[in-house]
Amino acid sequence: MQMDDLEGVVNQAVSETFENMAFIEAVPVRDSTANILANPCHWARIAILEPKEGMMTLLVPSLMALEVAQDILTPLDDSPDTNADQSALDMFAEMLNTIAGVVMGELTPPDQTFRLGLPETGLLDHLDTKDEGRAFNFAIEGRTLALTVQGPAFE
Amino acid sequence: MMQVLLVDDSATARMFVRKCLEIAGCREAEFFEATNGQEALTFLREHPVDLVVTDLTMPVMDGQTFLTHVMASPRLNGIPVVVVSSAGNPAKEKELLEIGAVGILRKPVSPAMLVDVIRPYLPPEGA
Repeated sequence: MQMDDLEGVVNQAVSETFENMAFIEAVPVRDSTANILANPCHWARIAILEPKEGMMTLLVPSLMALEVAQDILTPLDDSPDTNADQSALDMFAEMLNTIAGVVMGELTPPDQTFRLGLPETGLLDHLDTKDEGRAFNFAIEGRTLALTVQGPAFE
Repeated sequence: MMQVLLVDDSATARMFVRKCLEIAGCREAEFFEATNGQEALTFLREHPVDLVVTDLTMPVMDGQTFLTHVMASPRLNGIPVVVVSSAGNPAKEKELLEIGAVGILRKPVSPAMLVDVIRPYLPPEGA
């Protein structure tokens, strides 16, 4: 797959998901992913199971994750006992699940089907960062997050 | 008052779908939630509702299995079930419609998408 084809598909999926789910704009940027990983991060990860295996990971600096989640979820959730970290992780897991579905819908030939795993979430010290694959960075409300893809599903 | 059951293992997804449903015409509805198909089935057997919106990929019992159980029940098979999923493909969508789903929507869902599907099941204005 051509890098710019994949980049276009990913950019469209991220933009569409943040716009429809959160009513905020996600703008592709050329920041280094290392800058994002230099900070504590919330992460969400989802496996691509079929037709080829792969992994998609969303990396969000933790301070940004908590602030963005609060901005998005506060108007929706009036329950008093909310764990901020868990709410942020759940929100980004759902967004990643949606992004992965949109991306795989575009990448999968019409005569094939795709299957996703269940999203996992956590904090950066539990994530194996040795091979992040291809990284795509996005600015949201002036701050940057990263989406990485790796594996045969994206080649 | 219209009663709606939201089925998804993600609390965020349930919140987003609820918000979209409220904008799409369910602002006065009473909402119930379940985190998987088994939980939803147990709830429905005690408390049938007017509309169900379910995710497809969930632990314990997925949306397709849940839908199959609902359609197999004489007491529940009149409840309209809308499937919302990130894992869309035409063959799966056809299969779900044949089982009895009234609509299949791909995430990210918007109020406009929901309106088209749920309009026949909304109470008359003023009811």
